This record gives sequence, structure tokens and C-alpha cells, in this order.
Amino acid sequence: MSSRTDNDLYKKVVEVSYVYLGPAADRFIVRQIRGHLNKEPEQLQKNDLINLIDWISLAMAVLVEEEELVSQYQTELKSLVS
Amino acid sequence: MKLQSKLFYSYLIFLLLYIAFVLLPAPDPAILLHYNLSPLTLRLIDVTIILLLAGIWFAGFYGYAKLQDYARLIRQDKDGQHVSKLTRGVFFLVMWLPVSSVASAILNYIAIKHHGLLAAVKIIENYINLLLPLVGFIFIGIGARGLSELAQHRPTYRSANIMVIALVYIGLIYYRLVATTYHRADVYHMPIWLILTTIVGPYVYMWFIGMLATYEIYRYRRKVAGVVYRKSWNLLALGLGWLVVMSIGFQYLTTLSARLNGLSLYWLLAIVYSVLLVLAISFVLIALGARKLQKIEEV
Repeated sequence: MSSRTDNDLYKKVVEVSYVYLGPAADRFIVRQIRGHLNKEPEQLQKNDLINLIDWISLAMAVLVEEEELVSQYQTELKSLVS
Repeated sequence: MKLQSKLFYSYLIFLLLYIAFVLLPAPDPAILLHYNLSPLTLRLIDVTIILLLAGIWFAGFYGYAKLQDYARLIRQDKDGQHVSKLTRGVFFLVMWLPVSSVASAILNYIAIKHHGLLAAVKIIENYINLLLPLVGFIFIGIGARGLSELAQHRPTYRSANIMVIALVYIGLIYYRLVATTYHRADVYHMPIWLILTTIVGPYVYMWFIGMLATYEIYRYRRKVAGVVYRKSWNLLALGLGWLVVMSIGFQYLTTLSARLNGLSLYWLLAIVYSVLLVLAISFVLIALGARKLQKIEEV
């Protein structure tokens, strides 16, 4: 697993996502941040997380049919907010 | 010109060349007499085979295009470099079908005009059929090894043994079929030692790297992190594995090709149509698998 920046929050988001998306996790998260938050991964802040999690959940719902898996991923990401 | 359009134009060129060399020359009187067919019936059969081949080639080109799209999306990353090699291998496998069919149609046209060249034509056909998939499986093998190393998982001692045992028997059956087929001279037009060293040996090697690659992709699919990513590799791994099985089946069938000439036309057509349809499955699986992987990189 490789991270593109030193931003700890971004690294944690990728770490959680790695369990679900494996080698595609880093690319997936970078795309969500750039595409929906109009930011670079190193600029990710805690107050962006809720918005980011919503976008990630939407994208995951397109990829997988198992709602349980999406909600589990969502819960793990939400734990990073607190 | 975009890659997709380049691929589409090459598909059309192959198809037109094949149609021209199959349908334009007058039907071979020997075939008409052998199967008791009218020229029109033979042409109708040719058209059904052309339609089937067009469908299979399209499935192959489509599968490759999808895989190429996916490889391009991830080319900067570690897995991307290995997927690129795998894609290059699939390209050779996809090209194998139209190149061998068109070459065979052209060479057979030449052989009808110059009967003395029949042996040379068959020899060239056999080597074209070997070379393209061999190169393809070598690239797929390199890509699969890279992916397997990425997941830090090499084949176990037990699985390596099972593969070698399977390969020994597959090779022995192939050797037996080649060495004892009554019509060997009509199929290969070469002495047995040359067939064994330049055809049987390379085929067995090709099946080995094909089987190993399939197994390594299967292990990668099982061991790599990412529940969603793993699932997306299912169809692609199945499609590549199916191609290896089909290649083995094709070669077994080739050794029997002279014997198959003795079958009735209906049986012969049933075999040809079934083989072509079963082959199409592998390219459809590759296309579906590549689409699934591509989707992860696009949302």
C-alpha cells in the first residue's frame, strides 16, 4: 500500500479503504478528493470527511451490491471523524 | 487515431481479407465431392462460420480494448505495470485468431492453385498457430508473476507438484496423439523428431506457463487485499484459465483433424461450431472482468 502524501488523515482514509479496494484504494480516494472536494489529497482536513464519506458511499454503492459491505466501510470511515 | 478505432479498423481488415479469400475463389471440387455438397450449400456453411468467427474476433478485440483501457488507467501504479504486461499477452492471444484464420485462408488459396505447396502451407499454418499464443502466454506469465509477487504469495510446494503432474500427463497424452496418429504426415508434413522438438515441446512449455500464470492470478485474486478489488478479478482469471484449457483442447483436436475428415458433415460442423462458441466464452469472460476492474477506476 502506498500513499501519495504525508497527510495523516488521508493516509488513514486510504488505510481503511485498502481493506475493501486493495491496490485500487489510493487511486480511488485521490479521485474522490480531487473530483468531489476539488482539493489535493494533502489538503484533506477533518471537516471534509463527512462530505468525502458521502461521496465514497455513493461510489461504493455503484461498485457493489452488498449494502452491508458498503455500510461497514462507511462505519469504519466515520470512526475517523471522531 | 485512437487505439479503439485502430483496433476496430484492424478487425474490419482481417474480416474483409478472410471473407475475400474464403468466398471469392471457386469452391474446391474435392470438398464438394467428399461431402456431396452443392457449391451454394458450401457457401452457406462458409457464411455461418464467417459470422461465428466475426463474433468471436469481436469478443476478443472488445475484451482486449477493455483491458487496455483499464491498464492505461492504472499504468503509473505497481499493479498497473504488471497488468500492462498481462494486457500485452492478451493482445497476442486475441490476434492469434484472426491472424491464423486469415493466413490459413490465404495459404489454402495458394495451395489450391499450386498443389506442390500444400506441405509448406500446412507447416507455416502450424507454426503461426503456435507462435502467437506462445508469445501471448509468455507475457501473461510475466504479468501474473509480477502480480503474485505484489501479493507476496508464491505457489506452494504442493500446488507446484499438482501442476507438474497434470502437465506431465497432458504432455504425454499430446505426445501419444501426435506420435501415433495414423494421418500424422497429412497434419504436420514433417519428420517426428522435428514435430516433437519444434511443436510438441513448445506447446507443452506454453501450457505450463499458461497454467502457472492462471494459478498465480488465482492466488493473487485470493490473497490480495480488497474485498471489492478481489471479486473484480474473478472473471478475468476465469477467462485466462479458460484460454489455456481451450489451447490444450485445440491441439488435441488438431492431431485428430485428418481423422475428423471421415466424419459426416453434420458432426464436423457440430464440432467446429461448438469449439468456436466455447472459445468465445473465454474472450467474453476477459471482457466482462476487465469492465468490472475498469469500473473501480472510474467511479
